[in-house]
Amino acid sequence: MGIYIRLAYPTRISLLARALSRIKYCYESMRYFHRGKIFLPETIKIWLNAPTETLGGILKRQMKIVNLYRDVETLQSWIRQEFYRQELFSSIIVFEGIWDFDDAKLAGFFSANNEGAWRDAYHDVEMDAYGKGEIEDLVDVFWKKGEIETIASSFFTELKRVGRGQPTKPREIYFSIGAPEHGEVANLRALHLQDWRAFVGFLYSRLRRDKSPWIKNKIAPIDRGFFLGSIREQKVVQTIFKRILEESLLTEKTGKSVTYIARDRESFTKFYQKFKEEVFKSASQELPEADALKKRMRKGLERIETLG
Amino acid sequence: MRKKAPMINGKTPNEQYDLDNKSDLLKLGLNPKSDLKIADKYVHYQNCKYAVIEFGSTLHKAVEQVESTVKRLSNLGRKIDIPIIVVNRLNRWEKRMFKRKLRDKILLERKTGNPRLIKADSKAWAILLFYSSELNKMYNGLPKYFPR
Repeated sequence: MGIYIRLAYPTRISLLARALSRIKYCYESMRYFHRGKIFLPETIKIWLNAPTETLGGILKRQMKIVNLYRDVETLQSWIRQEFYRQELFSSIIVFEGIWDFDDAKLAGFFSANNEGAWRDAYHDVEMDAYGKGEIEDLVDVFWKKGEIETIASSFFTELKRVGRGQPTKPREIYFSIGAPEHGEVANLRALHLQDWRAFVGFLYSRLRRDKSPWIKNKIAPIDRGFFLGSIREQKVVQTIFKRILEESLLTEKTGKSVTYIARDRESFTKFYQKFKEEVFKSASQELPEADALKKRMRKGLERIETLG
Repeated sequence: MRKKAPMINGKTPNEQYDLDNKSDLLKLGLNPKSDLKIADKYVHYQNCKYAVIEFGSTLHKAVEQVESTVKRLSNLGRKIDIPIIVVNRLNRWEKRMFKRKLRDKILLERKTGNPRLIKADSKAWAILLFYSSELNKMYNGLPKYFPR
């Protein structure tokens, strides 16, 4: 379980600027935990391709951290100089250190993932702890201590503050078991998004992975944007949304963006199941089936054939 | 919850070192203070194979923990035959980078089809990948008189 940040980039931004903003968010996240004396950074490692030799990684550079701020500054200026020369767009910058909880010390890391495939799997910024004993990893510690709500909301607020002066902003932040993917609800503990509409889109991504025949026959043929737009403009959907939040024990914290925090291990799954039945399924009931649509299209085409 | 080691060639381990336990670490000659990035178990199977096992939530973390433990144990002259990682699942994107040889469960790089190897002391070990759900099936399939 770890914390993962997916960033939103403006369209015209260089690869170097993207890499630097990943380091910026990585540093700010680390500073947040470092201030609370929970995380003690020790080394910076710059890997190419993967963050370990076994998975095909090549260690490019290693620095010991003496002063976090100064060392990150040094790292950033080195990246600026060497980014294109040393092909650092396939790099993974890992800050290794120790998570110091009252009852346990765990090895951990913060990483800025510039390598494309790695970023798809583990997002722009990843932070986690290596499990030990009963503790599986980072979010597991917060969950067991009952601190997930406090930490998640203050962490999200902190990153929003950081994002104010930046061209890139956090688009999604996950507190999740294993590596999260867009639309995966089973392993989530907390989720930060732009607004509730984005959360409906998130649930839709999950829906499209379901194999029920009504999804394949009625929802799949319709354009995603049109289907979601039509659902979200209905006032009744907002009412149902709020009610299901309560029923599924999900806490919603709204501001300019929105945060959902689970009060139960199954909260996100329950929410998805209920939303699927009450909103997605109801909305699709009167829709024509894929076969009916195909038939009508065929009819239209046959008419042209007869005219020809 | 106690984590069970996967069965190898139908054999279960008959000797286990819990690497989260200080006294077991000392027995193996590992320093409990400096070994924070460490796997969960070092076990001996009935067919005389030694394995290092990590139960992880993400693939890369589990591999890193197994790798660091294999290197340390190998430096101490401990015998290692199989590094094993057990994960709940791989996400869609992890599956695009890595795959598993169906028959012998070896972790492979998807692009090249080559096994990912842990290298230390001029030796190399291929990693076995198991899913937690498979472990449950392995043990549930055992006859009642079998030691669990």
